[in-house]
Formats: sequence, structure tokens, C-alpha cells
Amino acid sequence: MKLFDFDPKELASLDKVLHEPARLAIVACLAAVEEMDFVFLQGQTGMTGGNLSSHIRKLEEKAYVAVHKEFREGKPRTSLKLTGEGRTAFRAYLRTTAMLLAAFGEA
Amino acid sequence: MNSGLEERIRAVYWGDGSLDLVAGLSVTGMGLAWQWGYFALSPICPALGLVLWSLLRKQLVEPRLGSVVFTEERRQQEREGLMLLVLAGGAALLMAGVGIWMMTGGGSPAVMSRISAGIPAFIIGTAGLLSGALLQLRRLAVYGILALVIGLAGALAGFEPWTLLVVSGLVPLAAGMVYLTRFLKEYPRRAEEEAGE
Repeated sequence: MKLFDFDPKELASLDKVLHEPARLAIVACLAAVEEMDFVFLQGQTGMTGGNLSSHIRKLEEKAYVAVHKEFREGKPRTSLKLTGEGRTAFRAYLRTTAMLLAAFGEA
Repeated sequence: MNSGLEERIRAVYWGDGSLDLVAGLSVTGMGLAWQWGYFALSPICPALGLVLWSLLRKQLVEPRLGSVVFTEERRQQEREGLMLLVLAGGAALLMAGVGIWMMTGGGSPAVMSRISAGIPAFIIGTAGLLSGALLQLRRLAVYGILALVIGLAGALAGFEPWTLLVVSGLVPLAAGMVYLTRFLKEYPRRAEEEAGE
């Protein structure tokens, strides 16, 4: 009898970039909408501006998030969008964690 | 994906109270314009309200809350929902009118004139209900139901139309003030340059 109904190696394949709680919160918010700006994301995640910026940079490096900067009425505005790759990675992450939760009878 | 989270984001996005405040001000303004003899100004109140709401949203709310673009699917649903709801609202008002006409024995002038005092509040109530359903905001629907109840009860009790409008508008106005005050406390102004961007 196997301990898990799934290959435990799949856990090791969990996306490390998404597995970080702050980045997971960012990606979860962006997955629910088409686009969100920096200010909204900061308000909802409760992160400091610098912290949020550094996490966004990591997600941008992995091409999970597209960042668009512009000036609107003389004020800088940064809008963020989850890319196709980001959406696929987030779905895969959710699938793997759902399997783990199911193994503990939590899903 | 994440429809539960999307609902929460929508609730936050519309939860600042500016919409309630401006809707209440517009309806109260319509009633007061009516009472002060500027009946023709009544329809201008909602238009002014829209301008005021857009200013409040831009100057007060968005710098603190930020902005969101919802999914195309959701926006399409809203467009279709708006058309359906306007049609359903028109049909409901027509049916209510016919129903009242029939119940009052083909339109007894005395009863009809009494009930007609509630028509402006009925229209406002229907608009509130429709907007509540469209934006999936329960509190807008509650204001709508209250305006319908106030319109019907007030008309039967013999109140003037302007009084019913003012009373119907005071509810969202007061609620909007509470929501907006809470929002301003909860969300300090954030400029992106301060935020470290």
C-alpha cells in the first residue's frame, strides 16, 4: 500500500517561485481579474511598497506577470497582469496542493 | 478561475461608499428640488450625481484603493445583464401599473392619484434593485427595496412625492457617509512613488 495516492515527487516539483506566500497572494489576486494596479494590490496584500515591488520583480523575471508602467495625469501608475505562463503555473500549483490536501482529507 | 476571490475583489472595489453617498444625494436632491418649486431641475440631479461620483472616485477613492479591470467575461455579463434588467424593470413597472389600474376598478381617480405620489420612489426603488442585481451589491438592492416600501406605504398614507423621495434618498446617503468615513480611515492615500515603485 502506498502512503499517498499521488507520486510524492510531484510535491518536489512545486513551483518554488509561486510557493512563497507573498507571491502566491499576488498571483491569486491577479488570477481573479484581468488587470490590477500596484496600489490596489498593495492595499489588499498588506505588503510594503518595497516588498511588493521585489516580489513582482521575481514574478516578472519568470514571465508570470506582465508589468505596464505609465503616467496618468502626471502620476505614475503600474498595472499588473498575469501572463498565460503565470496562469498555467498557478493552475499546476493549485492541482498539486489540492492532491496533498486531499491526502490529508482536507480538500 | 478564482470566482470566490473575484467576488471579494468586487466587494472591496465597490465598498468605498461613494456610490451610496452620491445616489442618496441625487435622490434627496430630486425631492428637495421638487419641494422648492424647481421641478424641472429634478432630472438634473442624477446627472450631477454622476459627475460628482466620477470626481470622488478619481480624486478620493482611486488614489487610496487603486483600480482593477475585471475579466472580459465578467464585463460582457454585466453588459448583457444591464440590457436584461432594464427590460425586466420596464416590464415590472408596466405590470405594476396595470395591476394597480385593475385593482382600483379601472383607475378610480382618487386612489390612482394617491398611489401616483409613490411613482417617483417606485422608479428609484426599481433602479436601486436593478443596479444591486447588476453589480451584485446587496446593499444597493436593499436601498431599492426600502424605496419601494417607502413609496408604497408613503403614498397610501398620503405623503407628497417629494417627501418620499427625500426619505428614500436619506437611507443611502447616511449609509454612504458611514461607508466612506470607514473607507478613508482604512485606506490612507498611497502614491506609487511613496510606495517604493
